[in-house]
Amino acid sequence: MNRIDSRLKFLVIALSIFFGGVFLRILYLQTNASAIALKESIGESFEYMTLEINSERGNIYDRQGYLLAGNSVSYTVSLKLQTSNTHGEFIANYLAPILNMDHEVIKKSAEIKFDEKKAVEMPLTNFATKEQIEKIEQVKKFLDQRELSSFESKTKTLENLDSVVYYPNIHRYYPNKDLASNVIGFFPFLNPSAGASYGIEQFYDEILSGHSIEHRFSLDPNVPDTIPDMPKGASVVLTIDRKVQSIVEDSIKEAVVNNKAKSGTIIISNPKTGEIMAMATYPRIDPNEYWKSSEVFTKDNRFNPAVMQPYEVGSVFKVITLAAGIDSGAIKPETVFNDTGTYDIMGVSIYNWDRGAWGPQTMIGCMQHSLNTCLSWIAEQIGVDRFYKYLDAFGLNQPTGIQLAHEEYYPISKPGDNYWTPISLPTNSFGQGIMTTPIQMITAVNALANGGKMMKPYIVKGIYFDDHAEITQPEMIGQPISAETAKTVTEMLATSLEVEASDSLMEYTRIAGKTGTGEIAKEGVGYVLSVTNASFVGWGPADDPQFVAYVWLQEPLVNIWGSEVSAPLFSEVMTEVQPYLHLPTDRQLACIYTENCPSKDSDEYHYW
Amino acid sequence: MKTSQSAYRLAPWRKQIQNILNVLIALIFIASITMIYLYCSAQMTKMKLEIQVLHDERSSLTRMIADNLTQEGQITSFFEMEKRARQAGYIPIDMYDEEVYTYLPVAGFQDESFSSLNGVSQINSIPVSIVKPEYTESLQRWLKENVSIKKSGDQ
Repeated sequence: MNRIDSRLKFLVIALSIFFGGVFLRILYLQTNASAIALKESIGESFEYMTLEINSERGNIYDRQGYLLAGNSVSYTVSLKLQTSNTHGEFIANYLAPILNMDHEVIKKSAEIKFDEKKAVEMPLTNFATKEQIEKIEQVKKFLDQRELSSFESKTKTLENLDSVVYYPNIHRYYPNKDLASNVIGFFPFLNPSAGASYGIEQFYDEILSGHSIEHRFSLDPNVPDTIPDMPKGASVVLTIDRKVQSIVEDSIKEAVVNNKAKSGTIIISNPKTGEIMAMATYPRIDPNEYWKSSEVFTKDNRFNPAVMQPYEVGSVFKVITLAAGIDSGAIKPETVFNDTGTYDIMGVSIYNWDRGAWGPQTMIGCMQHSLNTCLSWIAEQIGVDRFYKYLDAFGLNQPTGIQLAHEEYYPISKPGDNYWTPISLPTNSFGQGIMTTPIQMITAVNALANGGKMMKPYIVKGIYFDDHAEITQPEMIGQPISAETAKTVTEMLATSLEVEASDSLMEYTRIAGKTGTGEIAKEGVGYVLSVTNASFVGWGPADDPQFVAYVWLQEPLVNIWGSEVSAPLFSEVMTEVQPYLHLPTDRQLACIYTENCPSKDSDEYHYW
Repeated sequence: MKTSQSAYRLAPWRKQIQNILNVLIALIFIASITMIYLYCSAQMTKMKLEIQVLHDERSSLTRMIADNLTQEGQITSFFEMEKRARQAGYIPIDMYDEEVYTYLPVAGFQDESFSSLNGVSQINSIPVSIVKPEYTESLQRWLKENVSIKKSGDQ
């Protein structure tokens, strides 16, 4: 008995020592730093999977809520090479007609030799439609239901489409094709990591993309976990109306083609708010085929010239000089300038566009005949420092801050700068030797049409986040001239167009405006008269302007003059667009608010 | 020296039954714990699978909604609408002929801006897991965190 007791005691002691050792070892493993690190690294590898979860990209709408950019589902169809190797011909026979792909391409893809390390799967297309996937499923089902004879099943490897797999993916889609593509930009869905390019897509890339998180997903079935619900990226609503945009785009395309111009741009804005109603350029691309952008656009012909391409605007710039002259008190509308045909400065003569001498001219005459000599003289009367201060005040020496990517501006050379000479002042006064973008010009001219108040241009009406919306509020960014000056200049330019019987005049709506034909300096040659930028800026109705439109044709070959190509284009576009902007003509207003509805042929409401 | 000794001892068969019962109680206890553990594990695994299935369904629905929205955009795109309008016999208004259209101010008329956006679906959620942390952490970790918080709170 004692012997058994002693054996039991020995067993208890031995077990105690064993369990004590195990306990101490556990304690060591629980507290030792390297053991903990090892455990964690093993745990990271085998217990968790890290998933990158991205939000769906936000949509872009026009001002009426029509979709301009959305997301569509497509399917990537792939072949599992391990099982496709043996029957490439069979797979190609079925897939080629469904996917509209070349039979040989599919066959070769299917027969690529399987290699566990190098070649496991071969994608055929990234853009299969839902209908195509349904057809593949039908064929798969049909093949599965085949009844093979016992002989066939024993002697022949079963040919089927089990190696064909597909994965859904979301890609960017632009339902209106090239409509407003210069404004929207594009998202390269074939290479999303490259990020969006140009326009709204790039400017608001971060907001449209929404959230992107990395989530550690536990592989342990005892740890419940969910994949977080990701809110969609914010949706952006533009100020442009697709109908208006379409009319303007059709017109600019026709003008560019007919005049064999390099490019064309038209912007329409609301001077009271700075809202951009339309911004059309040509050429454009369909952003669904964004890879063509490198073929279409060059350094001299940018994706959206309206904001990306500063150029010498020519005589259109005279409206700024005239406004500065009137506002500074240097000139008055009735001031007379005697045009001798040249304006000499530092031994250099400045000529008019026609090299003619027009004799004594009031300021309206100067604008009507677009006299370079007269504007040079006005700039001299204003004075160098004051002239450039006015240009700064009009915002021409800085980007406008419109919500579009890659906005460019060309810094103005001023006295003291390397490239400035005394000849710069007169040449700048009529828009040569100074470069501005159409968006800078229309912003400056908005001040003339809005009682001297300059509004910040904006093309985004609102941004809809998942939990709130941000609506863009009109913002005044300065008052370069007084309300009185704005009114005087508008009246002068309206009269000047009427006296000139300009092609820009609209039937039944009185407008103010100015044409411009800017010469282009070619490298190594200097200014070439036959290569021009033909522009026009106009606003109306003259007594209470509701719109400003800017037209620019780059290097038109058929007709180089702004007064003959850009001015009539302004009239044509605004006549068509005006009803869609909910703006009555002057005659319609008179019919509504006065007892006498003027006759359609009345001179008072007929400006042609 | 006087020693005392029990007058009775448990009968061996009783002692054996007692031992057997003790072992059985221990086994039943272990089996119960194991059963509860396995049951909970099975429930959690089932739940996790359900979560994954639901997540797949949600992803599929999200894709479908996006696709349907874009298809609607495609059907109502400017070019499609224009084509259909022409097919239906409508012709563009000649804006140069002022007699074919008129300007009529209507009291109370509001611009249609944004009206189509009312239906734009917005997910009102934040990108975090909806499972409470209490369900995903160990007892040891819970004690560690809460005890340390209480301690620091006491100070």
